[in-house]
Amino acid sequence: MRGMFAVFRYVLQGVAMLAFSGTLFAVTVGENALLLEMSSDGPDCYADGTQVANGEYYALVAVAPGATFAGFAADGTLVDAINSRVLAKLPLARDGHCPKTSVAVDENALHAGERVALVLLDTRATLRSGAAFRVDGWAEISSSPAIASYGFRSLSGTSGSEMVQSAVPENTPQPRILGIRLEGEEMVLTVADTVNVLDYNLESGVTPTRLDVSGSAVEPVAGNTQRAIELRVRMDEGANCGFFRVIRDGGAQ
Amino acid sequence: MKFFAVVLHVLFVSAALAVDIETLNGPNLLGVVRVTSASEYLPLSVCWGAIGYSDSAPAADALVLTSGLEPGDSLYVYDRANSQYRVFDLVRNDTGDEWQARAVVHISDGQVETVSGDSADATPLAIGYGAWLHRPGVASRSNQTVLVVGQVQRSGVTVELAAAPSGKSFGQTLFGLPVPATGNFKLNGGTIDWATAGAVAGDEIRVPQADGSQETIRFDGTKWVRKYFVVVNGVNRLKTDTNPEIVAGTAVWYARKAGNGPISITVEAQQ
Repeated sequence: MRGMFAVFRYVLQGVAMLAFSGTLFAVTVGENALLLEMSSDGPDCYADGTQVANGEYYALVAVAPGATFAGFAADGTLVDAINSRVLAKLPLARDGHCPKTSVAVDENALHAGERVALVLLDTRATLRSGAAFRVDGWAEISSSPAIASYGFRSLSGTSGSEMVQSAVPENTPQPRILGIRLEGEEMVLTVADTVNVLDYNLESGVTPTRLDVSGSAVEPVAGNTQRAIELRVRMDEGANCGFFRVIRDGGAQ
Repeated sequence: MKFFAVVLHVLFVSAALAVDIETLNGPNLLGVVRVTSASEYLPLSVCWGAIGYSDSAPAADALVLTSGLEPGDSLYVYDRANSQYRVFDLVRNDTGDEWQARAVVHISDGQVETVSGDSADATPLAIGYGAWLHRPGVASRSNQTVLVVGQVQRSGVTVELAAAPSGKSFGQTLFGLPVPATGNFKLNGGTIDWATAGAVAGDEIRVPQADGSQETIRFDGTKWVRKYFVVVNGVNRLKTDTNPEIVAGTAVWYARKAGNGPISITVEAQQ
């Protein structure tokens, strides 16, 4: 009987350890992992100026080369999941800042040329009520330049009270380019699957992997759930090619 | 003969440093090597064993003397058995200096795990590999000298240098070079027969530099060759160094070219 209890105790301990770590197996990394040392000086504040609560989340986000980080949607997903990936969301906040934290990222978890951003989230609704994970604001505290997949990088900074409100409601569809036509010196892109509360714009570049000009439309255009919208862009004189992607451009909250 | 050379080197260095370091007592033969660098991230060689024991791996708290370091400096150690990193922060208190474990977040394959790890004195290092000393403070780096210490090994050590993972051009291992009797470590004509060990043309040794860059030294099939540029009369000229040296007491990345298996390097005993 004592033996049975011992086995039962070990099983319980194992379950408890798994619950605590949140992973089924130990997470392993190669020796040449990217080693990040991240922190914020603080005080880190929410948009209303109050200091972040203990246990508030900081996210580590990998952002594609040349892309602008578009932030989080209210349901905690990424606005631009094509050009950014969440590596981790960690409840690190203590005494109004992100304490010095070491992170080892396996080389396979990063793609060539990506940068890594440290982002503060506003998840007070979740922290206080225990409700489903929700992001009511975010602020990019620090960002590395394009990184090698190994070596050391420091991610440190201060967010102050520059919390960016989440601009994108839940279940917002991804915009879809339907067509393109030329009108004089301008190209006109027809775009569907937009929503009324957001403005839309373009980012552009000379290669598909380097869209390094953000907000390149002649002017942002409000979305419309009833019909397609049109975004206009001027081709650079002498350019023989160009690439464009529709982006959300802030808009009503 | 080699024995006496090592002893002389160690005694000389120890005598030179006896004035400003704490006293260390080893039962047999103590090694001390002075590493001078302004690097914020300094790769150090785990070149010797635990002080006071014969042929035992040192613990993380015994790799370097803390004289000349500052609180806030940290030690990054790769735990080869668990494939995870361990980090220790230097804390200065009434009883002396202490390396305190810091939790490390590990990210891989979409999974995240935070590991606290053991204390520094319970975390063994692996002889023949490397560990990183992080000196964020300018004062600590301006001191520049780091003292790596340990018990000189009676036995040889085999160091496994990893093959390239699938889809990668190179496999990288932080290789802690042995400390020669005198001077820096000579890659060619030294104590390691690279070609016999299995080094192939295209393998690289990558030497981290103080500015964060790294210098690449390539194996040409028979020897290591360093190519570099010098400016002569305003013109960049390519130079070749066929006798490259690595600063004694430091570690380097051994980058194994894809398409080849792992390589085993035997580091000879020094006594």
